[in-house]
Amino acid sequence: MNDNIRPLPAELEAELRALGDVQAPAELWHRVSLSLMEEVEAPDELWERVLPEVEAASRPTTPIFAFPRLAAAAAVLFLVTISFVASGFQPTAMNSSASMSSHDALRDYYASRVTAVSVTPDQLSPSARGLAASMGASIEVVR
Amino acid sequence: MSFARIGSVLILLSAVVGCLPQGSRPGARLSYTSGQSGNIGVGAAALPLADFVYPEDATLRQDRTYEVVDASGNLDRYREILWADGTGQFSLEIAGVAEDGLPSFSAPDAFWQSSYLTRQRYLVHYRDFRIHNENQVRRNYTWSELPGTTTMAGRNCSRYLAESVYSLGSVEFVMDQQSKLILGWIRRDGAGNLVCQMSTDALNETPNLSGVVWSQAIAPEQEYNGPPDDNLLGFSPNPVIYYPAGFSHGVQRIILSQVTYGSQIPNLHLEVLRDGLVNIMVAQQLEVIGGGGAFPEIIIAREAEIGGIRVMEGDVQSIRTYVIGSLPSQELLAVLGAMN
Repeated sequence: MNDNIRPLPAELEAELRALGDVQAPAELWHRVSLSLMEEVEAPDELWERVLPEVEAASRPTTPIFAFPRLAAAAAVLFLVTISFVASGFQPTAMNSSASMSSHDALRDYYASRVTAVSVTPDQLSPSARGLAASMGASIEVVR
Repeated sequence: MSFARIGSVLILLSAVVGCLPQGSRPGARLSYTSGQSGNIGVGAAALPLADFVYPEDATLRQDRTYEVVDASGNLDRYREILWADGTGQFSLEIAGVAEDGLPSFSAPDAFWQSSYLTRQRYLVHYRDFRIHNENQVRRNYTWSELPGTTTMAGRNCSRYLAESVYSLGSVEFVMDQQSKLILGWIRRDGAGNLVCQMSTDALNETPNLSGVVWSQAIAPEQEYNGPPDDNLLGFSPNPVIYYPAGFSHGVQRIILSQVTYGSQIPNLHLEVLRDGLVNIMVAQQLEVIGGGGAFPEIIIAREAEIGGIRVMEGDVQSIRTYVIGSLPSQELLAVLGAMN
């Protein structure tokens, strides 16, 4: 048995038992499910209650690294840096596979931040079509 | 260990390793290798690439054909005339159009003439291929002279093939053996599919240049010098964070389109990323009025493939951003996604 699970207060337990066959509203389950799937801001009262324990348990960190995405990006960037340094910045057959796999991971990470919707050229903005034509794209698209 | 601690430690290590002098890095070498037998790229740091002369730098009238795969997969062809005076002045005119794989050329209408008039400088600078940086080419490409002699515009020509060591495609040059003039090129993607090509039909190296109207920038341009120039743009450009393998940043410029076209076309921040041969255009501007509607803050991009040339268009922190090039979509998406 997990020692961290404390019994409900007697008063609350009595109130719950007094509900008999009354079912919990669906919203309650939705909110519980939501809180399991993503971060949900805790009520102020809860923060005030747990803040002393959190402060005692944690060490100060740079706020920017409190974001898991940035930390993950830092890890990927580090791997890329190490790979390039180790290879002497040379894409030789011997060492390019390792550095390229790191680079591919970085590319896929950044690309995943974009949701791309495929469109036909005429659905691009006039500026996009004009720039594409300047790069040599079939110029009919700018008509 | 938490993400925060891992991130902090890795960044610190990265900084320390990055500060090591070149000679102290394990495996550091001075020469570049291509890893491809039979190519002159092996140990290419000491070897010169072909000593090309580019048409726009020469004195000539070059009648040529530009061919590009369109969005339907058909080949569109354009007959062009390039005039150049050897001092850097040039003019690129359109002389014929054959779209959708049609065999015969038709005379260009006013639309085509206007299109070339406004874009000729960009076509020569950003579409046409040339070696921008020899060291980058040595690092990023295997370089080989293809066997045999080919004929183009009545000239005996050699062919040189630059293949990306990162599987990002190739560029083949056709060079006049006598004058070293580039008479043609072929751009293929990483799968070997044709993207576009140019070939010379006729060449006159003693042309009568009287009456030629030399190209001029339609909209004034100037170098972007950082935040002091942001008032010209109305925003602070987002920096490019991710570079496809072998690519590096380019000079940042401002195109003052409002001077020519008024407020309907906001000024443009332009940066061209290069790997020595191939260009990726990254442009940013305030959202164009009637330009397709606003995007939410998360990056939702429009993606279009026009032949082998791909266009990404999305809003990054309320700045309309365009990434355009002949690289795979995933590379261009990463450039865009990293700017957020």
